[in-house]
Amino acid sequence: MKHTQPLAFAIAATLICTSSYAAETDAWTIKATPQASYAGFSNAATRDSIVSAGLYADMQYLDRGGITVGASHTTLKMKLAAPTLQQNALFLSGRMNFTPDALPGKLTVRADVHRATNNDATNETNGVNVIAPQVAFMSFDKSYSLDLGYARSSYGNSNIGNGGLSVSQWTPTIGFGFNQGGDWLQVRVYDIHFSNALRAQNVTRTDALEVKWTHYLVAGGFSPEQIQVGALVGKRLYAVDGDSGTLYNLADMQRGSASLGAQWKLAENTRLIAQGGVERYENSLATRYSANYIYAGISQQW
Amino acid sequence: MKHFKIKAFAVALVFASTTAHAVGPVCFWQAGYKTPEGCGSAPAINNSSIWQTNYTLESTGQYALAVAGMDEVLRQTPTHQFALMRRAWLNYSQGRHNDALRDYNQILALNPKALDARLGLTLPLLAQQRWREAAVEANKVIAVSAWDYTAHIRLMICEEGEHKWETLTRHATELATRYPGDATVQVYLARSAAWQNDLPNARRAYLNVLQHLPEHIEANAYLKKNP
Repeated sequence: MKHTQPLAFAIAATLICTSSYAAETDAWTIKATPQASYAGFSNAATRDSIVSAGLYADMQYLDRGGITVGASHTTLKMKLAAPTLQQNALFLSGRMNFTPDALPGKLTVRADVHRATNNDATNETNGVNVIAPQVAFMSFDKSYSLDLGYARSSYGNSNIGNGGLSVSQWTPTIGFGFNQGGDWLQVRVYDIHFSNALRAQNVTRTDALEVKWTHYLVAGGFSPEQIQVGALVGKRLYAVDGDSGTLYNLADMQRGSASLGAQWKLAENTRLIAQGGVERYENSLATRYSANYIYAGISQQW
Repeated sequence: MKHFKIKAFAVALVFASTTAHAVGPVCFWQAGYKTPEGCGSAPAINNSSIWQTNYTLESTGQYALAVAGMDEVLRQTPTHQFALMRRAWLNYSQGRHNDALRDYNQILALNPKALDARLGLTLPLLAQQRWREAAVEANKVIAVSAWDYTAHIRLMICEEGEHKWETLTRHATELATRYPGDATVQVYLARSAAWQNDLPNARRAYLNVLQHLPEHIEANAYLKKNP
């Protein structure tokens, strides 16, 4: 949104100054990102494919904070005669930035809320509510970052006698910049605790380590402006991914993943993001399978 | 890449501070000095020794004491714009950026037309990498003084901080027309071209920089890497 400027000045500026820079005083920056993903399952006994589409909108007020809202619809197609699962999810995130003189960087306090509803007959993946606060620090020279995230998820009561479920997730994260800012390495621990082992493949806790390496390039032609390689080792169930705003309520026990993504600059304020990867899972019958996925999104900033 | 830093004000203050030292009785409110004897109960703001002492404290890096001197002036005259300006600068100089923001904003509340306070406000904002807020303030100066050099340089710092390379190219090109003798503008022109993989224009701009400053480290490094 642009500031209202006195008409007299606007006319004078046009006639006399011919400087276009006075116009760039927008307090709000708005970014919209429509996105879609597809995953096909291999060796899965019951799952066939999963398709998701959504729209995220981010509103940033100067450097002080911002709000992100998102909505998505997901269709999980099952094999055999099992009914297709349809899910709607909402995402709301607010953040505030602080720059206390005592710290050599920027402090961000953020809180996310997720809500997911679906037609799961067991109700075990339905009625999910998540609140996820996070505090993050980024040094001014972008040489390192630290953040600590927490997510508290509550799931619907089971219709098949498995009781209720709540999930607590801690995600301590560190990041390092190197190669004169040309590379960024992020390491995140997922420490997830379950209130009810019956609903969590008979475990009360999972731990996983996620590593993402981002390499920044000089954009030009078909060359992306950044590429990202990611991997996850360990076990992860009912995770909440704060980076992507993703809720893994439909997933089985994740036992590792690998991904490759890139971001292209289509115009000064337009980006294309594409990612593909493999995620390995294990269901409650100890059957292991994998999901091969692709993701694409376009972000436009105003 | 290192940001261009505005030194003109500091240089001016150093010059000012070398002109004279405080003489005569030293008052309690003159930070860094001892006590009360021979002093009146209140500072005489028009006494030039107050300011000389303040410049001396600044030039010797005793920012906290210099701030205390301005605190005392402001206790007497809370709306003293120059004392607020001095304290803002001294706070900024010692890394107390939020205090500097408070002081610059206080001046602007008293006098919204104060361009030097608005330019001053951009300094702690840039130090805190609050690029958008600094850009808003720089643009407010440009809105009433279209080709204010300092405002444009600080706006270019914001554009660089936000990686708005196309905007920076347009801006630096326009500014280079207005300030053809300025090397800093050429540096920003070169950086924006380099970030867009525009080798010919980056080389051309860095060669221009070397005409002004033959020892310029960044220009020499780029041209050595991209002969």
